[in-house]
Amino acid sequence: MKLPPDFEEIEIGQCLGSYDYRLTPSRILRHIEAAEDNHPWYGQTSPFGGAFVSPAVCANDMFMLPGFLRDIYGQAADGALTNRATFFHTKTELDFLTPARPNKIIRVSGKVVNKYVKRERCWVVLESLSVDEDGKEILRNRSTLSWLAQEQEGDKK
Amino acid sequence: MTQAGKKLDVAYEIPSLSKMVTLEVSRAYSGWPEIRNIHTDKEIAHSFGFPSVVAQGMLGAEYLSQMCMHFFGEAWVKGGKLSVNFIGVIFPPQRVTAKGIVREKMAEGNSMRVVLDVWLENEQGKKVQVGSASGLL
Repeated sequence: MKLPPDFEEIEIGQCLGSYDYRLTPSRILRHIEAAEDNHPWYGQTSPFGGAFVSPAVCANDMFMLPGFLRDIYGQAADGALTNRATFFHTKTELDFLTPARPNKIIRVSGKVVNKYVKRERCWVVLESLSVDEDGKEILRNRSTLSWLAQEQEGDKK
Repeated sequence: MTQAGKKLDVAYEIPSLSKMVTLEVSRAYSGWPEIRNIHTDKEIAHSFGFPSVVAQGMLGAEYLSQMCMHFFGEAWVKGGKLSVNFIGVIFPPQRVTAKGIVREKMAEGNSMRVVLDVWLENEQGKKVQVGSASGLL
Protein backbone atom coordinates (compact mmCIF):
# COMPACT_ATOMS: atom_id res chain seq x y z
CA MET A 1 0.00 0.00 0.00
CA LYS A 2 1.52 3.28 -1.08
CA LEU A 3 -0.65 6.10 0.10
CA PRO A 4 0.35 9.72 0.10
CA PRO A 5 -0.23 11.59 3.32
CA ASP A 6 -3.60 13.34 3.34
CA PHE A 7 -2.25 16.62 2.01
CA GLU A 8 -5.60 18.39 2.12
CA GLU A 9 -5.93 17.81 5.85
CA ILE A 10 -2.50 19.18 6.67
CA GLU A 11 -2.78 22.78 7.83
CA ILE A 12 -0.16 25.50 7.88
CA GLY A 13 0.57 26.22 11.54
CA GLN A 14 -0.54 22.72 12.52
CA CYS A 15 1.21 21.63 15.69
CA LEU A 16 3.11 18.36 15.43
CA GLY A 17 3.15 17.83 19.17
CA SER A 18 6.16 17.31 21.38
CA TYR A 19 8.08 14.61 23.18
CA ASP A 20 10.99 14.24 25.59
CA TYR A 21 14.00 11.99 25.64
CA ARG A 22 17.20 11.78 27.65
CA LEU A 23 20.62 11.97 26.03
CA THR A 24 21.77 8.81 27.72
CA PRO A 25 25.32 7.47 27.26
CA SER A 26 23.93 4.53 25.30
CA ARG A 27 21.99 6.83 22.98
CA ILE A 28 25.05 8.99 22.45
CA LEU A 29 27.25 5.97 21.83
CA ARG A 30 24.75 4.55 19.36
CA HIS A 31 24.90 7.80 17.38
CA ILE A 32 28.70 7.94 17.52
CA GLU A 33 28.96 4.38 16.23
CA ALA A 34 26.31 4.80 13.54
CA ALA A 35 27.79 8.06 12.29
CA GLU A 36 31.38 6.93 12.84
CA ASP A 37 32.02 10.25 14.56
CA ASN A 38 34.80 10.07 17.10
CA HIS A 39 35.68 13.72 17.69
CA PRO A 40 37.77 13.97 20.92
CA TRP A 41 35.49 16.68 22.33
CA TYR A 42 32.75 14.09 22.77
CA GLY A 43 34.80 12.42 25.49
CA GLN A 44 35.81 14.09 28.71
CA THR A 45 37.16 17.47 27.77
CA SER A 46 36.14 20.23 25.42
CA PRO A 47 36.42 24.01 25.15
CA PHE A 48 32.91 24.15 26.60
CA GLY A 49 33.96 22.60 29.93
CA GLY A 50 33.41 18.87 30.04
CA ALA A 51 32.01 16.50 27.48
CA PHE A 52 29.27 17.48 25.08
CA VAL A 53 27.30 15.73 22.43
CA SER A 54 27.77 15.90 18.67
CA PRO A 55 25.74 18.82 17.30
CA ALA A 56 24.08 16.49 14.83
CA VAL A 57 22.78 13.99 17.39
CA CYS A 58 19.54 15.98 17.59
CA ALA A 59 19.20 16.39 13.82
CA ASN A 60 16.65 13.57 13.50
CA ASP A 61 14.50 14.73 16.42
CA MET A 62 11.85 16.15 14.09
CA PHE A 63 11.04 12.78 12.64
CA MET A 64 9.86 11.32 15.94
CA LEU A 65 7.34 14.07 16.68
CA PRO A 66 3.98 12.43 17.35
CA GLY A 67 2.22 14.65 14.84
CA PHE A 68 4.78 13.91 12.18
CA LEU A 69 4.49 10.17 12.70
CA ARG A 70 0.69 10.26 12.72
CA ASP A 71 -0.13 12.82 10.02
CA ILE A 72 2.88 12.84 7.70
CA TYR A 73 4.64 9.50 8.04
CA GLY A 74 1.56 7.39 8.65
CA GLN A 75 2.40 5.37 11.73
CA ALA A 76 0.41 2.16 11.84
CA ALA A 77 -2.16 1.50 14.56
CA ASP A 78 0.16 -1.03 16.18
CA GLY A 79 2.91 1.56 16.31
CA ALA A 80 4.97 0.06 13.53
CA LEU A 81 7.02 2.66 11.76
CA THR A 82 6.88 1.47 8.21
CA ASN A 83 6.72 3.68 5.16
CA ARG A 84 3.17 4.53 4.33
CA ALA A 85 3.97 6.79 1.46
CA THR A 86 6.75 7.57 -0.94
CA PHE A 87 7.66 10.98 0.32
CA PHE A 88 11.14 12.35 -0.02
CA HIS A 89 13.07 14.53 2.35
CA THR A 90 14.36 17.11 -0.10
CA LYS A 91 15.98 19.79 2.05
CA THR A 92 17.10 20.39 5.60
CA GLU A 93 18.27 23.57 7.32
CA LEU A 94 19.93 23.07 10.68
CA ASP A 95 20.89 25.73 13.19
CA PHE A 96 23.30 24.50 15.85
CA LEU A 97 22.64 26.78 18.79
CA THR A 98 24.11 25.37 22.00
CA PRO A 99 26.16 22.26 22.75
CA ALA A 100 24.01 19.53 24.21
CA ARG A 101 25.24 17.79 27.33
CA PRO A 102 25.11 14.08 28.18
CA ASN A 103 22.21 12.94 30.37
CA LYS A 104 20.17 16.08 29.77
CA ILE A 105 16.51 15.72 28.89
CA ILE A 106 15.66 17.15 25.50
CA ARG A 107 12.19 18.37 24.62
CA VAL A 108 11.33 18.44 20.94
CA SER A 109 8.42 20.37 19.48
CA GLY A 110 7.42 21.23 15.95
CA LYS A 111 4.86 22.51 13.49
CA VAL A 112 3.95 22.76 9.84
CA VAL A 113 5.08 26.12 8.49
CA ASN A 114 4.15 25.83 4.83
CA LYS A 115 2.56 23.59 2.24
CA TYR A 116 2.09 23.94 -1.51
CA VAL A 117 1.74 22.06 -4.75
CA LYS A 118 4.37 22.56 -7.41
CA ARG A 119 5.26 20.55 -10.50
CA GLU A 120 2.60 17.95 -9.67
CA ARG A 121 4.09 17.28 -6.28
CA CYS A 122 2.93 18.10 -2.77
CA TRP A 123 5.41 19.89 -0.56
CA VAL A 124 5.34 20.53 3.18
CA VAL A 125 7.82 22.51 5.25
CA LEU A 126 8.22 21.56 8.89
CA GLU A 127 10.09 23.21 11.73
CA SER A 128 11.23 21.68 14.98
CA LEU A 129 13.13 22.90 18.00
CA SER A 130 15.12 20.80 20.46
CA VAL A 131 15.50 22.39 23.90
CA ASP A 132 17.27 20.94 26.93
CA GLU A 133 15.84 20.75 30.45
CA ASP A 134 17.57 24.02 31.36
CA GLY A 135 15.76 25.84 28.61
CA LYS A 136 18.75 26.06 26.31
CA GLU A 137 17.89 25.82 22.64
CA ILE A 138 20.08 23.11 21.17
CA LEU A 139 19.05 22.73 17.53
CA ARG A 140 16.51 24.10 15.11
CA ASN A 141 15.52 22.06 12.05
CA ARG A 142 13.54 23.29 9.07
CA SER A 143 12.90 20.50 6.59
CA THR A 144 11.08 20.20 3.30
CA LEU A 145 9.33 16.99 2.30
CA SER A 146 7.78 16.17 -1.05
CA TRP A 147 5.59 13.46 -2.52
CA LEU A 148 3.59 12.80 -5.66
CA ALA A 149 0.34 14.74 -5.78
CA GLN A 150 -1.61 11.78 -7.15
CA GLU A 151 -2.22 8.44 -5.52
CA GLN A 152 -0.77 5.46 -7.27
CA GLU A 153 -3.10 3.21 -9.25
CA GLY A 154 -4.69 0.58 -7.04
CA ASP A 155 -4.21 2.52 -3.81
CA LYS A 156 -7.09 2.97 -1.46
CA LYS A 157 -7.71 4.97 1.70
CA MET B 1 43.15 26.37 17.12
CA THR B 2 40.71 24.93 14.63
CA GLN B 3 41.56 24.69 10.99
CA ALA B 4 39.30 27.67 10.32
CA GLY B 5 41.60 29.81 12.41
CA LYS B 6 44.33 29.21 9.89
CA LYS B 7 42.61 29.16 6.54
CA LEU B 8 39.89 31.65 5.75
CA ASP B 9 40.77 32.59 2.20
CA VAL B 10 37.88 32.61 -0.22
CA ALA B 11 38.08 29.59 -2.53
CA TYR B 12 40.08 27.59 0.02
CA GLU B 13 39.00 23.96 -0.13
CA ILE B 14 38.60 22.62 3.36
CA PRO B 15 39.73 19.08 4.26
CA SER B 16 37.23 16.56 2.93
CA LEU B 17 35.69 13.64 4.77
CA SER B 18 35.09 10.25 3.18
CA LYS B 19 32.68 7.64 4.55
CA MET B 20 31.58 4.20 3.44
CA VAL B 21 27.81 3.86 3.64
CA THR B 22 26.94 0.21 4.06
CA LEU B 23 23.61 -1.45 4.78
CA GLU B 24 24.73 -1.77 8.39
CA VAL B 25 25.54 1.93 8.60
CA SER B 26 22.21 2.90 7.08
CA ARG B 27 20.37 0.63 9.48
CA ALA B 28 22.30 1.79 12.54
CA TYR B 29 21.73 5.46 11.72
CA SER B 30 18.03 5.08 10.96
CA GLY B 31 16.99 3.07 13.99
CA TRP B 32 16.97 -0.55 12.90
CA PRO B 33 15.51 -2.84 14.20
CA GLU B 34 12.91 -0.68 15.95
CA ILE B 35 12.27 1.25 12.76
CA ARG B 36 11.52 -0.52 9.51
CA ASN B 37 11.36 1.67 6.45
CA ILE B 38 13.08 2.30 3.13
CA HIS B 39 16.25 3.24 5.03
CA THR B 40 16.52 -0.02 6.94
CA ASP B 41 14.44 -2.77 5.35
CA LYS B 42 15.24 -4.25 1.94
CA GLU B 43 11.74 -5.59 1.33
CA ILE B 44 10.11 -2.27 2.10
CA ALA B 45 12.60 -0.47 -0.13
CA HIS B 46 11.81 -2.93 -2.94
CA SER B 47 8.07 -2.41 -2.47
CA PHE B 48 8.59 1.25 -3.28
CA GLY B 49 10.59 0.42 -6.38
CA PHE B 50 14.07 0.95 -5.00
CA PRO B 51 16.80 -1.58 -5.88
CA SER B 52 18.02 -1.55 -2.27
CA VAL B 53 17.64 0.44 0.92
CA VAL B 54 18.02 4.19 0.57
CA ALA B 55 20.41 5.82 3.00
CA GLN B 56 18.65 8.57 4.91
CA GLY B 57 19.36 12.05 3.60
CA MET B 58 20.15 13.14 7.13
CA LEU B 59 23.06 10.68 7.17
CA GLY B 60 24.69 12.70 4.43
CA ALA B 61 23.95 15.87 6.36
CA GLU B 62 25.60 14.20 9.35
CA TYR B 63 28.77 13.73 7.32
CA LEU B 64 28.72 17.34 6.15
CA SER B 65 28.31 18.39 9.77
CA GLN B 66 31.27 16.26 10.82
CA MET B 67 33.43 17.87 8.13
CA CYS B 68 32.40 21.31 9.34
CA MET B 69 32.95 20.33 12.96
CA HIS B 70 36.56 19.46 12.17
CA PHE B 71 37.01 22.73 10.30
CA PHE B 72 35.14 25.20 12.47
CA GLY B 73 35.33 23.58 15.90
CA GLU B 74 33.63 25.76 18.50
CA ALA B 75 32.31 28.03 15.78
CA TRP B 76 30.25 25.10 14.49
CA VAL B 77 28.87 23.93 17.79
CA LYS B 78 27.62 27.39 18.74
CA GLY B 79 26.27 29.30 15.78
CA GLY B 80 26.85 26.81 13.00
CA LYS B 81 24.32 26.61 10.17
CA LEU B 82 23.85 23.92 7.56
CA SER B 83 21.48 24.09 4.62
CA VAL B 84 21.43 21.04 2.36
CA ASN B 85 19.40 20.00 -0.66
CA PHE B 86 19.10 16.25 -1.10
CA ILE B 87 19.38 15.98 -4.88
CA GLY B 88 20.47 12.39 -5.26
CA VAL B 89 20.01 9.02 -3.64
CA ILE B 90 22.62 7.01 -1.79
CA PHE B 91 22.19 3.26 -2.27
CA PRO B 92 24.48 1.28 0.02
CA PRO B 93 27.13 0.10 -0.35
CA GLN B 94 28.48 3.41 -1.55
CA ARG B 95 31.42 5.58 -0.60
CA VAL B 96 30.57 9.26 -0.25
CA THR B 97 32.84 12.24 0.29
CA ALA B 98 31.91 15.50 1.96
CA LYS B 99 33.63 18.56 0.50
CA GLY B 100 33.55 22.30 1.01
CA ILE B 101 35.01 25.57 -0.24
CA VAL B 102 35.14 28.94 1.50
CA ARG B 103 32.75 31.18 -0.40
CA GLU B 104 32.59 34.39 1.61
CA LYS B 105 33.13 36.04 4.94
CA MET B 106 30.83 38.56 6.51
CA ALA B 107 30.67 40.50 9.74
CA GLU B 108 27.96 39.41 12.18
CA GLY B 109 27.91 41.58 15.26
CA ASN B 110 31.34 41.34 16.86
CA SER B 111 32.02 38.05 15.08
CA MET B 112 32.65 36.90 11.56
CA ARG B 113 30.52 34.37 9.73
CA VAL B 114 32.50 32.24 7.31
CA VAL B 115 30.31 30.68 4.64
CA LEU B 116 31.16 27.53 2.72
CA ASP B 117 29.70 25.89 -0.33
CA VAL B 118 29.40 22.25 0.71
CA TRP B 119 28.46 19.09 -1.11
CA LEU B 120 28.46 15.33 -0.88
CA GLU B 121 29.82 13.29 -3.79
CA ASN B 122 29.33 9.63 -4.56
CA GLU B 123 32.01 7.31 -5.89
CA GLN B 124 31.35 8.46 -9.42
CA GLY B 125 31.98 12.07 -8.48
CA LYS B 126 28.31 12.92 -8.79
CA LYS B 127 26.91 15.34 -6.26
CA VAL B 128 24.09 13.84 -4.21
CA GLN B 129 23.76 16.68 -1.73
CA VAL B 130 24.54 20.38 -2.18
CA GLY B 131 24.20 23.38 0.03
CA SER B 132 25.96 25.79 2.31
CA ALA B 133 27.42 25.79 5.77
CA SER B 134 28.69 28.54 7.99
CA GLY B 135 30.45 28.96 11.28
CA LEU B 136 30.52 31.96 13.56
CA LEU B 137 34.10 32.89 14.43
